[in-house]
Amino acid sequence: MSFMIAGSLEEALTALAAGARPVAGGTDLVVGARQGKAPLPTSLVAIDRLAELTQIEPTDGGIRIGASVTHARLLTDPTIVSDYTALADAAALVGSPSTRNVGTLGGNVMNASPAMDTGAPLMVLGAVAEVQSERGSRTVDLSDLWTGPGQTSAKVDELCVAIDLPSRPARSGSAYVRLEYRRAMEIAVVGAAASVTLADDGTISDGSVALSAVAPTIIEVDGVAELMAGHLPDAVGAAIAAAVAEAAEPISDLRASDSYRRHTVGVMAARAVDAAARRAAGEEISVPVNRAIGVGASR
Amino acid sequence: MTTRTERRVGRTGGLIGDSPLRPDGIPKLKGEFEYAQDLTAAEMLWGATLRSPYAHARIVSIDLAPALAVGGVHAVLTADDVPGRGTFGLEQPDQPVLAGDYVNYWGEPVVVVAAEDQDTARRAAAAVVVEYEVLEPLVDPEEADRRDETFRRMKIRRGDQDITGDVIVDGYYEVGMQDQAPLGTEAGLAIPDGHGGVDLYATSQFVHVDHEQVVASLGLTSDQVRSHPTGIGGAFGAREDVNLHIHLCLLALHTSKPVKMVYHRSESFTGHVHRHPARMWYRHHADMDGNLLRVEAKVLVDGGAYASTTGAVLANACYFAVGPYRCDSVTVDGVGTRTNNPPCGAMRGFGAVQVCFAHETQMDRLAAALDMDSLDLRRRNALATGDAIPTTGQIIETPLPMTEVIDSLVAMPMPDATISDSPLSLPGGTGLTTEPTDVSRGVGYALGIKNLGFSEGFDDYAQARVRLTAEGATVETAAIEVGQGLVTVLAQIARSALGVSRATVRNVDTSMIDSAGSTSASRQTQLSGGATLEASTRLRARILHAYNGDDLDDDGVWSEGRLVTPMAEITEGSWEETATFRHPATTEPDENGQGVIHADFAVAGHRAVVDVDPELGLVRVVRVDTAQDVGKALNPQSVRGQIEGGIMQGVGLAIMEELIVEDGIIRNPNFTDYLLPTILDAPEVEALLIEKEGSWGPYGAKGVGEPPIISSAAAVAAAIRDATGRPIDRIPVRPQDIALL
Repeated sequence: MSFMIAGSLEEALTALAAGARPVAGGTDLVVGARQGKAPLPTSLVAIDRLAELTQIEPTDGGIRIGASVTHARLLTDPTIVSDYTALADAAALVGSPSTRNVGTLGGNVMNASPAMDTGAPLMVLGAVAEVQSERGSRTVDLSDLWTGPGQTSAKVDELCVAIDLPSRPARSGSAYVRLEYRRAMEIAVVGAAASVTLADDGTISDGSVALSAVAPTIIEVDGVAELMAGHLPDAVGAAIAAAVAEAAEPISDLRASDSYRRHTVGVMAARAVDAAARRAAGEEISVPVNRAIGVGASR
Repeated sequence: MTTRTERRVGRTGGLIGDSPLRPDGIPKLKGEFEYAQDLTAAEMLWGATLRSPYAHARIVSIDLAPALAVGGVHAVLTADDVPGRGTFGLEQPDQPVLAGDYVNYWGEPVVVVAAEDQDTARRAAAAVVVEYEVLEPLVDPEEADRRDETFRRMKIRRGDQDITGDVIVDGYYEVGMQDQAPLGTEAGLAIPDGHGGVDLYATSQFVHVDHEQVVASLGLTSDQVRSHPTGIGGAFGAREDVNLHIHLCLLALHTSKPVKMVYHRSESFTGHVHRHPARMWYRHHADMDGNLLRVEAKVLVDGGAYASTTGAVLANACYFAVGPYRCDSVTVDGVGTRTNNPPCGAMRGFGAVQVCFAHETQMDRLAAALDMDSLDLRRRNALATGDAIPTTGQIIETPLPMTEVIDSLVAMPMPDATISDSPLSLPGGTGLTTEPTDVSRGVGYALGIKNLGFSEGFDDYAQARVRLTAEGATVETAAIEVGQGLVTVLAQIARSALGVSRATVRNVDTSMIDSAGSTSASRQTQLSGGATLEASTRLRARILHAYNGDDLDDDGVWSEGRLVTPMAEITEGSWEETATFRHPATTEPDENGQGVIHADFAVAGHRAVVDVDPELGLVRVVRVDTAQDVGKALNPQSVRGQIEGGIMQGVGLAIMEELIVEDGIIRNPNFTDYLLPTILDAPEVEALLIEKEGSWGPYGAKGVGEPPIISSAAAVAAAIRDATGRPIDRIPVRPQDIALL
């Protein structure tokens, strides 16, 4: 087995072209190998020291988050917390404090788990992934990136270097809610993210909903914007729940039956829309985190 | 001259009723404590186990050559390499050391390997080629009952078998398979002694019974094997059975080198026995005033592939099937089935946990049917000293403060009724999942009873030796400290009984002392504590007699207030006493399950407060209050530790801890999918210790380890029922059982 620490992005891309797999936090790769899900790759290139992948920076049309930005950083970053709140909600729920300290956004996205927490928020916030290889750079819509459980459309030599998010319209808010059985060290049984933009009269002018753990990939629910447009937020819950339950294709597994997932994801989506709308209206709903560790307690 | 007053001032703490620092506490916190996982020896090899991938199969052939071809491999052994008895077992030796012609459960050991490092050993084990003829597994315990595939049947008939009540309540209940999930996995080291014998250091709750089984399978004489107590990271019943013990010794003797094994986490889930899953059918009869007239029950516990302690767990479940209530007419039929499911055995509560969930749910339903307060119903029927145990007819001769437990529990303050909006205190965890308006609160009560010590005529004893030297008192014992605080309390007993301030506990191996019995059945403080007290008392009397004194302390022997012989002079001699303590004898049951079956009993009650999000089925256990019959709290801090830990395990059983077994295969043998409550899931716990001396334990102490789990799970389930109106006839309660009805 070979292990190389990349000193530059070029070095990392060269290693990938030669067949190495990237490792940053290692929270999926190493745990998966220990649990016997997949053996460690025979050749690894560490990308965690590449400074250019750890930046959160404004762009012309929004914000660019480097692939190696950790969950711990996302959940305390002022711009993420104020403008892209659903992503902070999700980052705060990933694993444990130690997982959040080393686990990265790029790793979460490229691991492509249908139960990933940051995926649904990224989708409702309109994110695109920037992938790079020796052959060049391109951007991919997340709905094109995720092709199945643990599967992406990225080529083996392509590295996710950043996630780009468009700027947020005025009077908009977002939220991610996750169903979990215990209160720490959990993975989503189901999850729902919502983004809501309000018109001046308090009705919804635009919105979207995406779901975790109810399909082979994170999915965005079609027709949500039309369903909500022109209605007051507290009038759309039942319709959202029904549309979401319809869109979900959950499976039965150890953690829950398909019927339980279908029922609860509707409830969760309605609650996500409610929280997103209240944030859009200016209500302070803090990013819920483990307050015992004293981070991210403010909005 | 030293005066009496001065020497009293000089005495340090750590006596009976104090809560001194645990000697193993700080080393454990600092990572300096030596667990079995940390053992090492020069030229040590590592062992690994190849396990059956099928719940039931015939072994057609085993090809060891690919494993032997792996570089660094020193031994690859099969059933043919077991020189002595090919099987082991606590109640009957029915479990193969290594599978012979058949495998009977998923994860059954087939081949063991020793190699120069752990990875090589595991790779070599995986390289063995076993050809299996896969057979249909028997996994439905009710089908096993019908086919009479059983380890034991129980029949209890007491009183009028025809009486019926004015009010009758029927119920069917299930309890899932809980795992002990000790954080320290199975681990050990066997060192050959160069003369054909072996020293074994391995995770255990009962080294003498390991020793017996190891000797039998190795075909050695008793004195050729020494089983040593070693550092344990949790037990809860999982360490009572042999697992890697014989394998380690076989490999060590075969290679003439020390061999170490450490199970990885998922292997640990198959490498030890689990709590028996149970199915229970109940009928309660009462008169209009709420007097319990008759209880009928059928109790099925699935033992899985091999006997382990299924017979005793089933018996306990049946003996405590009615709970802590008077009832003169009882009918219980029990069966412990044999299937191709994972073997089940001892776990904290040992049968009493399963039936407690059933009898307490029945009591709540009976109260509802009578339109009576459920605590009034319990109080009206509560057992007391002088009553007969409803199942066995045994008269209770020691204090049994059931009514006091109920009254204390009711008097304890309730938490604030306002639902906090902190995400830390809401169901749904730390996300935005649940808001206060989504929450219903519920309160539930449950009472439990269990025996202390081994029962049914078992010769249950513990030996301890107390020495007095210049270093102070030393208690020698083979009793296992599993984290419960035994080493602390035995030293407290020695200090108090002998009169010296320095006392330490030293674990010795099976060749150096007789058995202390098992660290189980809530018995070790009572039994090994009893032996320590007796040895200390006799030693003190001998020393006082030898020096014509009337008191002994750190300074020496005193007479009428004057120091007559200084300690330095006393400890020039050799002072030791060995005592063997037995609890009152018990009898085997007659054909109707009647007799003096148990040595003593302990009771406890729990009140659980839960917040439930009924739409999602999520539960947050807000608070669990308890009152527990402890006899005498020898170390109140340790008692509270047992209570808080037991309640956490009860909360786990009530809402999340379950091994999912499908077609005999455990689907969640890992801590990602087998959910243990975290500290954020821990409820507030208030515990009231009820001290009523009169039991036979040292200073009147009763065992305290098991009562905290027996009724806490049932109380949480009752609280969920109260919050949601759902039937809740199965634990663990799954969110879908709440949300999808």
